[in-house]
Order: sequence, then structure tokens, then C-alpha cells
Amino acid sequence: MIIPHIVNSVAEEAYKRLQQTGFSYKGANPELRAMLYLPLNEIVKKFTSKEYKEYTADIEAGLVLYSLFSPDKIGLRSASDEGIWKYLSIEIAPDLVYARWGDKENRFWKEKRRIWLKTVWWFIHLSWQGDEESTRKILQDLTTDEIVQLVERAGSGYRVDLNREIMKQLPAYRSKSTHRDIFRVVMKFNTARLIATEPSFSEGGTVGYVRRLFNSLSQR
Amino acid sequence: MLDRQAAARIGWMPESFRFSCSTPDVDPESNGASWPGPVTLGHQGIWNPVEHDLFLEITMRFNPATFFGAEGIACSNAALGIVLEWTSPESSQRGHSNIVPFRRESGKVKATLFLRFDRNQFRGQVQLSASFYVVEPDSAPDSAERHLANRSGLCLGSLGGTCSLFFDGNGSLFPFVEYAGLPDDALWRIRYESSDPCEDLFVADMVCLEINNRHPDYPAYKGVDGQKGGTPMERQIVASWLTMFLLILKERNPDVFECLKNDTYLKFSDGSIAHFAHYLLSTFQINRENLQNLSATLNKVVAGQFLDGAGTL
Amino acid sequence: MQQSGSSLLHLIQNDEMVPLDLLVRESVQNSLDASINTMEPVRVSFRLISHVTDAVASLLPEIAEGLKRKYSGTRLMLQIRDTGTQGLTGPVSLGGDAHGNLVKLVYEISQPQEKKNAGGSWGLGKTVYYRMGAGIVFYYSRIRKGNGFEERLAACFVENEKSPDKVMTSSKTGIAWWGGENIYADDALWASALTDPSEIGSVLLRLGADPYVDEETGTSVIIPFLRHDLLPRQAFTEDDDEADLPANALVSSPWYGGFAGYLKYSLLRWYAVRISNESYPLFAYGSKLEAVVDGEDVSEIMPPLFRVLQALFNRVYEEESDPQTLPEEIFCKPVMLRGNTFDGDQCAGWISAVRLTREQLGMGSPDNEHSPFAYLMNRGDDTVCLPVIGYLRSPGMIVSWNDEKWKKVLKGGKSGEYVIGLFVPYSSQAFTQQMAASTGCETLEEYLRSTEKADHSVWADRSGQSIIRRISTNVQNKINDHFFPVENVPADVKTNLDVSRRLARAFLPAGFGRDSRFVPESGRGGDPPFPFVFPGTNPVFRVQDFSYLPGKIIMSWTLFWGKKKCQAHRLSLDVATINLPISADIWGKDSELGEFPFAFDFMTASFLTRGKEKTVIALHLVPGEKGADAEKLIDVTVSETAIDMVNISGNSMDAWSFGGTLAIRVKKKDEDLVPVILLQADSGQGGVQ
Repeated sequence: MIIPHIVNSVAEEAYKRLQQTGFSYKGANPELRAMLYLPLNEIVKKFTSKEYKEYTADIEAGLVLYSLFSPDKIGLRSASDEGIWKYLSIEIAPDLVYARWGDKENRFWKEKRRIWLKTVWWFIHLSWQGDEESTRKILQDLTTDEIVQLVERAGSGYRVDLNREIMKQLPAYRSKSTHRDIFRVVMKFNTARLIATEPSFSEGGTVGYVRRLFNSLSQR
Repeated sequence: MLDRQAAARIGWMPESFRFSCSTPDVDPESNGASWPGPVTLGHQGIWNPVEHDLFLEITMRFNPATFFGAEGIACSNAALGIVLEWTSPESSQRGHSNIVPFRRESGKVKATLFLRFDRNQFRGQVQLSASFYVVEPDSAPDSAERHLANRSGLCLGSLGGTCSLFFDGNGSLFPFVEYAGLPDDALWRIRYESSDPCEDLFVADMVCLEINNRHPDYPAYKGVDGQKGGTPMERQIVASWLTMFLLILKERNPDVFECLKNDTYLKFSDGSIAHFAHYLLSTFQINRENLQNLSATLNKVVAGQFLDGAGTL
Repeated sequence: MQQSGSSLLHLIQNDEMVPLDLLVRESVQNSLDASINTMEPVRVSFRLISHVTDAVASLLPEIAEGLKRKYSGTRLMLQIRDTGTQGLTGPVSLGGDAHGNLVKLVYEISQPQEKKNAGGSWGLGKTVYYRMGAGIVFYYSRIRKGNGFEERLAACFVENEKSPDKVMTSSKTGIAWWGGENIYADDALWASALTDPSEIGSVLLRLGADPYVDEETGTSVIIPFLRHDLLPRQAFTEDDDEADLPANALVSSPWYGGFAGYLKYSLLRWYAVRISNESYPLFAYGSKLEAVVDGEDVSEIMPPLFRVLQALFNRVYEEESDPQTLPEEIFCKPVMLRGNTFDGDQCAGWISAVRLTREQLGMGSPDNEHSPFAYLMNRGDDTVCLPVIGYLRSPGMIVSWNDEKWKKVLKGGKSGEYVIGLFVPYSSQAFTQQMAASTGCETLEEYLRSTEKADHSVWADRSGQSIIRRISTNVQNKINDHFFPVENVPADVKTNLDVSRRLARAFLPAGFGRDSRFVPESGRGGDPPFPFVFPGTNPVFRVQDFSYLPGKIIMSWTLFWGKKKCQAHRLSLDVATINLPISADIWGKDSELGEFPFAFDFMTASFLTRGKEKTVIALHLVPGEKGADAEKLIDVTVSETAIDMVNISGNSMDAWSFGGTLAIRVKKKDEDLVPVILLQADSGQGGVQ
């Protein structure tokens, strides 16, 4: 599948048009729109009616996007191209992004780490447990802020396996811990450990590394 | 941690460095560089990162004896490993190759490391480095060796520098974009956002030829698939665009343009807008006396560049 | 200036339009103009019969020899006979400044173009008859006169007088008439028509033409020696030499099946909305039309496309379309012009259009109808499937089908789908006074009529006017917006790359920017030598020469004070991460993380460099201690995770550097964490080591 991409200058102009004429779908690429609209609109409606909290809306939206635009359908090359996400935000689903965030150009195109559709896709990618159900299950208790932390720190490249393992082991650890912000602490500690250690080469591989990571914390 | 002295001590040497592609009869067209490159791909424009995958194989030789022991970086009886790590910030990904283990007793090591990159996986660059890790710790390290890193997974450092693989480079892509406009918008337009042509890069976010693919003349502009060298309309558009580009440059930065026009000294960054303008004017000997001549010579040059099969100079 | 044969024949040099189309348009137009009574239909019949040269030559003795010499064998004759029309009324000759239908059609042809009759401009279209055959045309008509009828018959021959093989050797002008006795009037002899019934009867017999009988009135135009190149050129192969082809070569046929077939489709093409259209709005335009070719009523073979055209036309006058005729929703909208063109509302007419599939047009089996492009424009292929729009004029005749001029602006849909439309002008729409003055016309109809080319094939604005252009732009926009709503063609990633690379190969130098074709050797800096040389103005902190003791890391350090008038610097001991280092304070905020894993063990400052001068100082401190050097230049405070150095010399320490040793204690051996020392310079600049 090829999704078009747009550069900043085009995005800027198109966004201004949205601001002037309303954040409604203007008719581009009906096929893509048809793919996205129904499932995403469901989620956005539940968000607007307060049935979904922000975090749940983001997770569910991410799951939808990840299923429609899975890595083998679009390629990581496209997924890491902000231009694609800008296009989707402005041309294909402006009404849906608007319902979630309002008139915030950062979420549509301006700040590459905050484009909503991109963020939620990558969050799911980094948390993916093999299927939707298992993924949804382990993501239950996190907050929007936590998504932000995970995705915004791309560094020189995400450690996908490591992230997925951390997300997987997190619920068990969370139940043992009294600290509210446990995800953040783990990630913080992880960033310090990673300087010297490569998880896949350590004892027990990535799984062992993550287990030790959590254990170290609970022992302190 | 490793430093250059350590590298010298083990006599680390990269041997072969090969690229291939799984599509039959397609070669990644690397520039034949040896480690640490840089390596550029897709010279002939046949291999490209969207349609083709990439296999990479590098062989290295070294004698790791001096790594082990109190004066080295690892415990005497530990097992170490060499691996090729890769990162690509633009693609938000990282990973590594197979790891080749060795011990003090291994003597001279010949390690062959493989990587496979999928098609449609990367944008921009991928950085490669050869790193050493502790694979198996020494279970009973000597007292003198206690300060040494002795746990599996610990990184001991990398050697031989970083190799950059260029999947897309700015310099190999003319800033050109197709967009879906309205049918009665113009077929083409120039976007020119730069205020500092000597610094700003000649890339699509700064300066761009934009084609409206919903304009009724778009089919005529695009021509038939497989048509060599583009259509006559494309030539005209490019010539006009280049003229406009120079004019806007002149309007916004008359001092820069003066230098370009008179061929006086001008300092600009590699790959900048001014760099391109300079190249355009000087290489093709564009007549700069007045606008008329400029436009006329540009038109001629553009036609020539296309009809010659668009060869590089 | 008097006309000559050659100049007349040049007048409507319409090379674009197929001659037969011109003929159909002109003759039917004339017939419709002459309708007696709008409630009664006008019937036009086309008939093709063969004849021998002698049949005609014998009627025209003066040129009989010439005719027989030039034309031999069997030839074709076309008879166009209308009824329900007035016929060629009025005087039978021009003498005495006469006006009337007969003289207008037959005799005024020789008058200068500039002469205009009261009641309208002189139609040059009539000259089309002379281009269809040898140049000979017989006109036969029956009119009402008093209580009875009168018949007239005349022939006219128009030939290029400059032609080397001309038949009329004695005429200087190339124009000549036959008929009745010449009439003398105004000091001149004028040709006149035959009116004697029996003489007319015998001529008709010779020509094989039907007389008018009973109550019939009408006009017949008879054209012998029909040319064989009247059909679209694809009737012939490349090898055929036109002169060699016999008359019946006309029957070689593509889709329309020959001369008669072409006439049928031509009638449909130009007059479909009026041919036997039950719902034809009589009030708007006049009589219905019945068209017959070789005895066959054209409406009986009307393919679905033409029924669609009728439905489109009718829709303009009715609220809804008849679902039986056309299940598709017809798009019908008024075309409003901006500005003050008309009195009252600015409606110039209506566009009525519909999108149809191949099936709906009967293009598949079993009917295998041809494509609209074939029927309407003689085009063979539909590879570029553009909408087809016909522009109507008040008589119901379509002026042109989407010809070259307009085609460029319309877009096309997927092949297999067709968009057919009609623009119906609001003929009686009156111009404002200003427009009327500037165009010289009172109504839109007048203006359109006046701008038509002589062959009625195209509307072209007069210089200074833009009405037609505005109408056509409006029509195109409406069609585009309705049938081709904004649809995005995905920017094909591969295409973009292709073009970008191709342009790059042509215009970008090798080694340009971060060129993936060629990248120059990148310089790699090495570690700076010790003592360090600092070219900059910022403070810099460096460590090296690591050595290890159990649980401790010992290193040499250097601090370049910087040229920016700093009073103090702090070295903080942090935990390194792949992102920003974590200071002790931040670490401490999360109890899970436990104790901060590192601490300064001791610190010595052993030398000071001022320019090239190196001085020894001796300062040794452990966490919790504070002290100054002997010369009282710096005061140092050491804690477990920070070292603060303050300038107490009273001078600026521009470009001074200090150095020594320091040790870091690793509290938990198996921690796998890495310490880092951060320089927090007073002036806000800092370096990390």
C-alpha cells in the first residue's frame, strides 16, 4: 500500500485551509478515507462522550491504525516518514484528529514527535504482543503521559523487542509496587542500564534483561 | 573501554565488504567502498530502498589476545563477541547482526557478520559500527581483573569507526514533490522558503518544484510510462522553474546573487541553495547579463540535459 | 463586388467538419426555418438514387457536352425533400429588388456578401449544396398561392471558373442558372424559375424525383453527380486513389455502414433532441422534426445514446426526468454568469448531463452499440475518455460536440464510463442595455447565432466579448465538480523518487550535500593531544587516563576555565543514560531507584596553566571538605556528587586551565551503570565528559 506523503510547506498551507474552512474531510483519496473513517470515528465518538478516557482513545486508535497500516503493509520506511502521517492527519482524517485534540497544529503536522496518528501507531508498534487482544490487555493501566515518554524518546532508533518485553512484564510488576509512576521509573532506569549493556546479549537475552531490570528496582 | 591503542594492539582489520540483493539481476550499486565507507547505494537508479532488499556481509580479522587479562578489557576466561550494530534515527530503528564469539585461546579470529535489511524498511542513512561485547563472563576472575567488565551483555566498545550507508541522500534527490491540489490551481509552482541560501540546504522543505497532479494537463505532463527522459512539457516546466528559482534568489538575497552573477567569492555550505545556484550558473555557463538571456540559455540547457539522456557531468 | 464560383466555393472551407455533416445541418436548418405551423411536424426525407449522366445533361443543353466529357458511368444523386414547410415562396427572379425565399436561396448567391436583407443576415451555409457534387443543384418547390398551389423549379451551377477542366467554358463567373425564361427588369436580364407544371413534371421525371401532391408544400433540393469523398476519410484505404474510385466506392463502410447510414447518424448527431421527441417543447422552439433516410424513419433506429440526449434536453423543461427513459439521476443546473450581462437574472442557459456505463449505452452484446465518441464525433477510440458536451441552439441543432477548443479543460473519468451533457441556452434572455449596445444584439440567441461560423459549427466570441467563454468555463466547472469530485491521485512514492533522481542526475553535481551517489571522504578528528589546546571561549572539562581499583575509577581531569568571565564552575557526578544524564537530585526523587550509585572519592587539583605558563598547585579534598590552593586562586568544595570551584583570585581567569586527578567510587559493583561528570558552567555554557 502506498500512502502519499506531504512536505511541511504543503502541510502548512493545507492546515491553514482547514482552519479557514472547517476541520472536515475534503474528499481526498476516498479509499483511504473509507478504510479509516468508520473504525476511528467510533473511537472518537466514545472519547467525546467521555466513555473513553484519553488514554483508552489513544490506544484504541493506535490499534486500529496498526491493523490497517501494519508494518508489512506499509513498511517501517513509511511509518517513520512524518510526511505520511501529516497527510493522513490533514487530508484523510482531519475531523477525527480535531475531535481528539482540537485546533492544535502540533498534533496534525508541526511537531514531528507529536503528530497524533503517528504517535499512537508507534506506541502500539513498541508495545505489540503479537495480537490485538494481548496488546490491549497489557496496556490497560498506563497514562497518556507514558505513551508520550515511550514514543518521544526515539533516540537513534527504538529498541523494539526491549520495549515490548518491558510492556509485557510491567503489569505483573505494577501489581507488586506501590509507586504510582512505575512505568516512568522503569524507563528511566532502563536508559541508565542501556549505556553499558545490550539486552539481547545479556544473560537470558532481552527477557532476562527486563526481568533483572524490574528485580533491581524492587530490591532497592 | 576501548580506545585506539586497544584497536592497534589487536590488529583489527576489515576484509571484504559486500552487498547484494535478493531480486534477480539487481545489484545494490554500492560505490565499492571498503570499511568504514561511507557507502552509497543505488547509483544507477535501478536499486532503490522501496522495492529492493539489501544483504550485507563483512569479514574482519583480528587477534584478540591482548583484550584478555588485567591489562586488557576483559577477564582472561571470559568469552567475548564481535557484532555489527546498526542505527537509523531517520527510520526510528536499530538492530544488530549475528554475533561471533571468541576467547583468548581462539588465536587469530576471522569473523564474518551478516545483515539483512528489508525493502521499504529505511529512510535516509543507516550507521554501522563493529562492537565488542562480553558474551560469557569469567566465572572465577582473577583478583587483578575485578575491575574489568564481566557480565554478559556489557559493551566493551567499538572499533574501526562508524560506517554510514546512504539509502537516500539529499544530494541525489532533486527537490520535487507531487501534491493533490485543485483542478484549477496551476499545474506547477515553485516553493521557496529559504532566507539564507548559503546555509539552507537545497531540499524539498526549503525549495521545491511542486506539481499538481489533479490539474487537467497532468497526464500530458507525465506522458506515457516508461517514456525516457520525460515529456516536452516537463522540460519546459523545469526550465521555467529554474529561472524562477534564480529570480527569487536574486530578489531575496541580492548580495548573494551578485556574487553568483559575477563569480566572486562566496562562502556557502555543501549542499546549500547557493551551492546549487552556483553549480547551475557556472557548469552550464548560463548567460547572466540579463533576464532574457538567462531564460534563453536555461531553456536551451534544460532541453539538452534531458535529451542527452540526463547524464551526470 | 460580384461573387464568382471560386470565391463562393471558398466561403465555407470547413475542412474539419465532414461535408455530409455540413449538408445535413444546413438542409434541415433551412427546412425547419420554413415550417408552416409549429403544431405540425416538419418532415425531411433524404434519398439516394443512382442516375446516368445523360439524365441531367439532357436538361442542361449548354453544358451537356462538358458534363458528358467530365462525368461518365453511373453516378449518385441525393434528394432532400421536406414537407410541412412553406416552400420557396416569393418572386421567381431577382429583378426589381425582389425579396423572397426562392430568390434568397437560388439567386442571391451571386450577390456580394455585404448585402443584407431586412430580416437577417444572408446565410452562406447554402453554398454547401454546391460543394456536394459537381456544383449543380436543382431546386424544386411547391407553395400555396391564393387558394391553390404553385410549383417552381430552377437549377444553379456553381463552378470554379479558374479550374482547367471546367465545364462551363462560356461563363466568366462560374455561376449560371437554368429554369424559366429570363426576365427583363431594371435594364437587365434576370434568370427566373420555371413555373409551368407540365415542364416541371417532365424534369422531375427525368431526375427521378417525386412531385408534391395533394396539400403538400415544401422544397426539394436535388444534387446529382455526388462526390465520393463526402464521408469521413477512413472509408478509404491508403492505396486508394480517389480519382479512380467509382461512385459506389462510397459503400465501403466502417461503423455507419455507407452513405445512407452516415446520413442517419448525422441527423441524429445534430438533431436528436428534436427528432420525434414526444416531449419536445413546442412553445420553446417550434415544430418537431421527422427525419427519413431512404424511406426509413431515423427515430426507429435511434440508439440509446440519442434517447439519452432527448432525455437530457427534456429535463431542462421538466421538473424531473422520466425514470423509464433514464434511471440515472440527471444533473441539471442553470448556468449563471457573473456580472451584469442580462436584464433580470443572469441565467445563460442550463447544463444537463448524466454519467452512464457501457451497459447503459448498449455497448456490450447483444446490441454492440458504438461508443458516443464514434456516434458524435467520428472518433475511433476511447482511450482518453473525456466528457462529451453538446451546445445547443434554439432550433434544437447542436452547434458542436466538445470540439478541440473546449476539450482541454475538461477532465475524463475511468474508461467504460461516459459523461454526456447538453448546454441549452436561454435563448430569449435579453441583454442589458449596455451589453446590447456593445454586442449589437438584443437577446442571447441573436448573439449566439451571430457568432456562429458560417457552417454553424462553433460559437466564437467576437473580439471584446467573453460571453461564450464564460458560458463554456461555467459548464466545464460544473461538470468537473459534479462528476469528478476532488479525487486524490496518490503521490506514487516510486514516481516521485524516479523524477527526483532523474532531475538530480541532470542538474545536481556529484558530491552535492549528503549525496548518496557520492560522498567525499569525511575527516575524522582524533582525540586532542594532552595538554589540551582549547581554541574556543567556552569552558571545557575533560577526563582521561583511566585506571581501576576495586570499586573505584581513577582518572586525570582538566578544566579549561573559558574566556567568558566565569566566576564559578560546578562538576556534577551523574548517572549516564542513553538520553540526558540523571543527576543525584533527580535520581533521588524516585525511591524505587534506591541510593545514588556513585560518589566522588577524592579530588586533587595539581596544576594551573595560564597561557604557556604552568604552575603547580596542591589541593587534595574528599567529600565534605572545602579548601583553597596556596595562592588563593580557587576555592573548591567537594561533596559526594558535586565539586564546586570558585574564582577567588580577584582577577579574571580568562584562558586558564586547571588539572589533576579524581576518583569515583562505585557503590554497587554489579550495577552496570556508568558515571558521567557534567560541567555546569556559571555563564550557562557547559561541556560533558
